Amino acid sequence: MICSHEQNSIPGMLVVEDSYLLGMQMKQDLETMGMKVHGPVPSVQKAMHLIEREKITAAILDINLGKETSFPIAKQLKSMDIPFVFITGYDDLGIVEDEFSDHSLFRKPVQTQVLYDVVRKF
Amino acid sequence: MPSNYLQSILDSALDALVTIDESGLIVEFNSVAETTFGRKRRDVVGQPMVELIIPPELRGAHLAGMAKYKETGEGPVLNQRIQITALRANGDVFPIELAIVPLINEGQRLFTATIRDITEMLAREKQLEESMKQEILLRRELDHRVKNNLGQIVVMCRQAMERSTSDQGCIKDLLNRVLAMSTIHDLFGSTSDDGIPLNELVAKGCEPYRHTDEQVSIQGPQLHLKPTTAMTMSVIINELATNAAKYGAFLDEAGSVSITWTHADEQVVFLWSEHVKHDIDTNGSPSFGFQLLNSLIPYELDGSVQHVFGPDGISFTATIPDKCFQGDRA
Repeated sequence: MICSHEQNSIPGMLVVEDSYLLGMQMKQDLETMGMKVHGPVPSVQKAMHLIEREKITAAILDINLGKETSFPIAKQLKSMDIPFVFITGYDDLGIVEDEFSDHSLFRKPVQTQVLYDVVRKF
Repeated sequence: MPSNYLQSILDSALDALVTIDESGLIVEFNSVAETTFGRKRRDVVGQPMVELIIPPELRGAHLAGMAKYKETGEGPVLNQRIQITALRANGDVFPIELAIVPLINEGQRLFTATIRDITEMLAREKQLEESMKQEILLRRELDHRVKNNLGQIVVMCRQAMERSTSDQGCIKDLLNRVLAMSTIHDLFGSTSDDGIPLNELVAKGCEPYRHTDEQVSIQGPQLHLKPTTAMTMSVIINELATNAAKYGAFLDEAGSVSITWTHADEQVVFLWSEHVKHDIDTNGSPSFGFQLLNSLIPYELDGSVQHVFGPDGISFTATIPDKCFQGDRA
């Protein structure tokens, strides 16, 4: 089970996902695993707002947000040295811009446990 | 000058054939060449080829190549197929495929060029390439949609599992939610690129739950939903209709639902309003369905929702930015 020091080690997980159902489930799962979750939010604007206001220590970004991609969020997080992972429904792993190629990418549907195992190590 | 027999063979060739002598003067020009270059045989025989069918910017290279061949016997463009451009009598420059074969006839060195106008072929290739690109794009999009749907179905299953001990109906709800997703895919398949007509989406969504046609009245300006919006709205309609079947207008034949929408000031206001004759049981724990009704539109469409339980039944209002709908009409 989750120890309390792990809970403290990740105080603020930002979840960006344009599907309400997927976002809510991820939040629920991550909270069950002992994380504090900010979001989910479905857009760049709302994510930026959270980054400004909250203490974000790691993030999970769905790449395709319908009308836009989450790369601007990734750029912002990178400039703040905040670790993050991408998730995508696309098969094409070449979709990630070069500057983020060292960040993990997961294909949907992804088990929250798998994400947790990665972000826990941040 | 070839015999009539040879001439008829040359003229039945499928490609343009142009023969020149060592000094670059045309000695043969078949009928396909006449069509291809827009020049008559009688006008070109004995004339320097370079000025008639080679575009100005390639003439230097051609003359240099001829001179080098004369000097060294080497010609890198000989005996192979190359793609290059040529000049028509009207000044048009067009793409060709070309093969030049040197030959000796009665002691005279000649060069015969087989020339194929590939304008149409290139156009077809380009078209094919574009349609393949389009197909890859479509496949990617479809793949993305399917994966998202599968992901959502997984979430629905898990939500149902969590509730299945206290609420047996939730498994039936789950089935209906998955069926609603499959219905929307039927609509994707049968409608054009214009998007999905809102009236059809509403009618289809009510179909599994209503008892009679007359129970449902649908009124509003013609609006087409973008695919992602259509997915969201189909879940909403399904939740409203399934709720109506359990507690509201579709519980029996006496109830009715009026669904209307208006479009003004860059917003579409959608109203689902029930009229029931029986007493309504408004007790019960907040369900997963109501969580969806309250949250989906604000989250996914950046709109707002409101519902009221009146004496007549539930009224659900959704305000949706009209950018969620397809172009011109919205």
